[in-house]
Amino acid sequence: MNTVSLGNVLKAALLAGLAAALAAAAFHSLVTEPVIDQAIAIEEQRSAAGDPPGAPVVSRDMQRIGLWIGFLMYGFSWALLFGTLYYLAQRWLPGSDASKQGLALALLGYWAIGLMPFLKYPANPPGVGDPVTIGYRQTLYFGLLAITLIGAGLTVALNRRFSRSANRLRGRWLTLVFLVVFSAVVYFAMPGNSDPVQMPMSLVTNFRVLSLMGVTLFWSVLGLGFARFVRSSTAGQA
Amino acid sequence: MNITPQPIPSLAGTNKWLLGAALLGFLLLIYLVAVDQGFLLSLVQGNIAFDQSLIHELTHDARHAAGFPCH
Ligand SMILES: [Zn+2]
Repeated sequence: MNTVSLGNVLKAALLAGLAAALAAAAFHSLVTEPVIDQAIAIEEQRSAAGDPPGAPVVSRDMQRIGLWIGFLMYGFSWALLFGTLYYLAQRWLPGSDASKQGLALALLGYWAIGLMPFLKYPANPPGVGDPVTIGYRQTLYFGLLAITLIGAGLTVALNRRFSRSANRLRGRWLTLVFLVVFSAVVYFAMPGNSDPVQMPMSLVTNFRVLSLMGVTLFWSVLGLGFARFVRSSTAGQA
Repeated sequence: MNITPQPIPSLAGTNKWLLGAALLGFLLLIYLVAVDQGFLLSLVQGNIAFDQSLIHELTHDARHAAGFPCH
């Protein structure tokens, strides 16, 4: 099995990250922006009773463009981590070729970076989070992210270890059991987000469903895109 | 095809500058889109950056939609 060079891995990952970012940004700008507008309208109604807010630094129209800028940064960021980890772990990843190994890593990335943080600390529209607790909530969120990334590393190591034993299928199952138990322990051990939700629950739920769809779309395109681009970059070396 | 088990990934023959740059790029971008409340621009703008929090305000909708903690 050939290993792919770091330059080629990063190129494929960044291209896939660009595609994933554009897909997620297009999705959110079509369906999630209207929900954000509703949340901001409720928020403004609420604060109209209290002190008047100053003029916004960035207008809503600029923020709608900023959504794309933000997702491009998001896409390139996870693509760089994905590419680096793929390069370092490629000999250990399950799969018979570079594309399938990339899909395996994308699936793990979806679990560690997309799914677990979402399940424990679901996305909220503007107007839910208390500005006072932002530091605490960021610590929890990125603490969880660090733990699930370690869990993803352990999963790769375990799978590698089991797959060298006589019974490969049993090894795959044991790895899966580890992943489920790890998820459950982390989920119940980490403290929850204590901020009260002072928005109509239907709006919040709506926003969360759209956020999860966006995250799922992002990792699907990242994984499939990487599988596609890494194949063309290794086509000449077989 | 000969697979020799490798206990740790070998970095021989790896461009370590590129590896470092990729990791640094990851950290900087994720910090800006998910965490920053004005710190980066305060290096050039001074204290007003913390009140304006330009990068945060600009990429604000992405921060919410991606599920990062915000307001
Ligand atoms: Zn916010």
